Amino acid sequence: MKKLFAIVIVATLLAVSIVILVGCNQADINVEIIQFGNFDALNSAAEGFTQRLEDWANEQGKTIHFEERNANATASNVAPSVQSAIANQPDLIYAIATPCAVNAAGNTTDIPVLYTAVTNPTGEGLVGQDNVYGTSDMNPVALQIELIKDLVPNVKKIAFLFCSSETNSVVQVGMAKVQCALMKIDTKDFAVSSASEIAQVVASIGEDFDAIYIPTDNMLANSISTVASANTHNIPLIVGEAGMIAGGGWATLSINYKLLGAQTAEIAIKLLSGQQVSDAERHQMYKGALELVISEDAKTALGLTSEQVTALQQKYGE
Amino acid sequence: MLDIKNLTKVFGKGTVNEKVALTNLSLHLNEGDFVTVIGGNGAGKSTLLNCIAGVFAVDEGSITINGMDVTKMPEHKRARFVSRVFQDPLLGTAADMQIEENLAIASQRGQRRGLGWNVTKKDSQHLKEVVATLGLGLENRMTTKVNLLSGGQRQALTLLMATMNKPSILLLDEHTAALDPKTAQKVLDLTRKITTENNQTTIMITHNMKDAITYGNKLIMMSDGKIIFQAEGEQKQKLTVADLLEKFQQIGDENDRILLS
Amino acid sequence: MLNLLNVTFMGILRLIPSGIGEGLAWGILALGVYISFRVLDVADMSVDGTLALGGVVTAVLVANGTNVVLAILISVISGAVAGAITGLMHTKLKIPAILSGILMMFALYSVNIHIMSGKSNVSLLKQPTLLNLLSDWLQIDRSVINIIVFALFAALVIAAIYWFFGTKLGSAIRATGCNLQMARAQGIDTDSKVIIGLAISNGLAALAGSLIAQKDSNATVDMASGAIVIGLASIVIGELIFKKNLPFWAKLAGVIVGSIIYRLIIMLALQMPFAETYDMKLITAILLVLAMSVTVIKKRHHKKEAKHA
Repeated sequence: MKKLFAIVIVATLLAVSIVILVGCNQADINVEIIQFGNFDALNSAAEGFTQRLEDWANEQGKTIHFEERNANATASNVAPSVQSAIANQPDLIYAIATPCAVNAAGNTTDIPVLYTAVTNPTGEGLVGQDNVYGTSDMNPVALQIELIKDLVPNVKKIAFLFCSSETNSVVQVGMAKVQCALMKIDTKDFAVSSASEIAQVVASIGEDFDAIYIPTDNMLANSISTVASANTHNIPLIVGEAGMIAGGGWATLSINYKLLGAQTAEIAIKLLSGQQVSDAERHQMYKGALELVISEDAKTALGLTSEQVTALQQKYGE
Repeated sequence: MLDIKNLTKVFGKGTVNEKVALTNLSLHLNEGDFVTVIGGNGAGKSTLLNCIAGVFAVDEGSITINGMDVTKMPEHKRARFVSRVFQDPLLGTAADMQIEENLAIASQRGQRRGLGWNVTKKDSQHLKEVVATLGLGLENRMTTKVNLLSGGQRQALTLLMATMNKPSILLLDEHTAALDPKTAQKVLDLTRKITTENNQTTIMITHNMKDAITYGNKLIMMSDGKIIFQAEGEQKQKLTVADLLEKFQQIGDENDRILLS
Repeated sequence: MLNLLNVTFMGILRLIPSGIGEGLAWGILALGVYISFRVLDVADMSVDGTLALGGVVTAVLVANGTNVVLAILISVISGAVAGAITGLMHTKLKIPAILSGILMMFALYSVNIHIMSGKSNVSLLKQPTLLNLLSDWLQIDRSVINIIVFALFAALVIAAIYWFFGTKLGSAIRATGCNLQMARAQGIDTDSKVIIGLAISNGLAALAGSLIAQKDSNATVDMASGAIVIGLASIVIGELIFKKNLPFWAKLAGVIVGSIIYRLIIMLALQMPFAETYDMKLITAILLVLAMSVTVIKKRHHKKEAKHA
């Protein structure tokens, strides 16, 4: 009796999934989007991409369908999402952030995989595979360290706060250290391995640090408010991208992720039009302008006048 | 008082390991009867007790206590009428709780357990007097955790907890088998004392044939899920261990745990 | 060298308040785990989910204008309901306890994200949380407020647990966890006791989650990662530090103390002069082993003295 019940349930589930699968793939162009988490930056990258592609499809008189999947910032959700995406046999896969990009590229060699918001594509092994293209959101790390010097002129020691298991962050921290060495600034790593450690680690950053730098780290982006809340010494908090400002970050010099998404869409357009994509165009760096974002609270805390803010904006070329 | 009609219990029905533990068993007990149960391993003695207590559901037949059909009643509801003392002296009491807490729980058997205090000052005094009737000195250690007591002391407490509320039926499943001879005797003496005082209807399983004859007013011998021999009153008192052994052999049942004394 | 020691020492002193605050908040979780693991003897893995549930519910409600006290209450109730469902799965559907807890943890993961409308975090910065409100009103620093509020909650919870388990219902639950067979033989409906017990322990986990979300000004889907391990570690540390056969209320207090000690040891590990932050887990483990061995050596020493006496 129990066995029969189980069989009925499994059969129903299978039937339902088949119906859903068949129901999709009705448009002229079908795109599977796999996004790592629900952060502003990644949302903007998705938005920029889909808007540009939709406009193009309309011009061409074609219908386009986007299947959106979100891994909710959990590593174990990525593989099933990628599998489902591939099973739908889309015209192309748009993978936003490293975990999704690497998994998708590793699981298909014929469906075109377009990545974005990956800091170090070469290091992740995404370069050299025939069906893989994309844009890197490599942080202007050196410029961000210079920004710290502009905001905190006496800076002598910077604390790097990041998740030790995110390769994006490790690479960026390495670059930051190089820049700091050039500028004769001391540094120390404060690496976290799980979200429940963040509060205590931040609390342990002593007053002798003049600034905290957080690269474009997914776990820290999710918990930026925790960082701000635990930052009882009010140490200036410079972050990797603009989405982290709303949650409590002080300042950043950031890539515009919407533009990055649109830039990636251009590659997609070439592929969908059957045009050749040259080697140089396959893997691109961000070509757009950088945005200087400083929160109002930060301006007060740092004692910045509006003239100083304007000067900074001119320096970093708005 | 206790009426068992055509009780059948099968384990693992339809599988390779199918075992018919009780076959069409019927038994009637009047109020105040103390029946001893003997039989070889696998005869179905413990299964019979477990069915009466409601631990197992029966396949066929009925169990009636005081005119009420309890065949389908779940174990914890049936506990209002049926109380038990297990063979393992550690099973009858909650090790981590105090003597008076254990007794309080026993005294609440059958009542709704709400947010009232478990052991009030009044309860504490009353329970102390109850424990004193055991004559073991435990009334001076009411707040001691039970896990500090010996097996015999715990079994005596279990017996007390089982009889405190004067249940309809008391089930004793070889309750002295795991105790040393001296303590076993003490517990049996207590059993006799309490059951006589309360005119307690009792079923006692034992492997000790002498005890089976000495205690109680009825005796049944089980084999293969059936009652194969019954004796009461004078006929029971006149029995000897040799008589019983002969009965065993008549049915061709060799028992390797027979205690001859 | 001396300067290094001085810096380290000052660093440790400075961080003791935050360690105590963390220990108190997470200690309430440990109390919840104590009830399910020790009192009820059920290995309930769902606290990872219910702690996050408590945090997420509080964050979403407060960020949307609900009074914080009401939000905390609703969080606790939602945790209790989740615990009751886990209990139902185990007792009525006969699903093994560990699996029931894991299933609930999985289910809550999705539920939590739904509550956050698809986002993976909700910020409580500058929101009227209990801690922010009291800090503004009394003009006391947040780190001090944390300790006061959490200590109050911990004391209240211990008092409530102590009272509850002295009632008939509470004693029936203890009996169920201590000796299931005996409890049933004494007429206790053990199924309902398991359900009530798990409701209480998960309600406490949700309360802890609510307080932690307010402390961090943030609720995320992964805020409870490793919660059950943290809870169990706190319980074990507490049991090792204090002697056996203490009265019940002292055992409960021991759990909170164990949680604080656990956090202080982590804080100590973070301040080690030559270590990187990712060494923290290794150093924590070493310090814990040292702490355990001290108590073992102490006990052996007492036994030897007793022999000679």
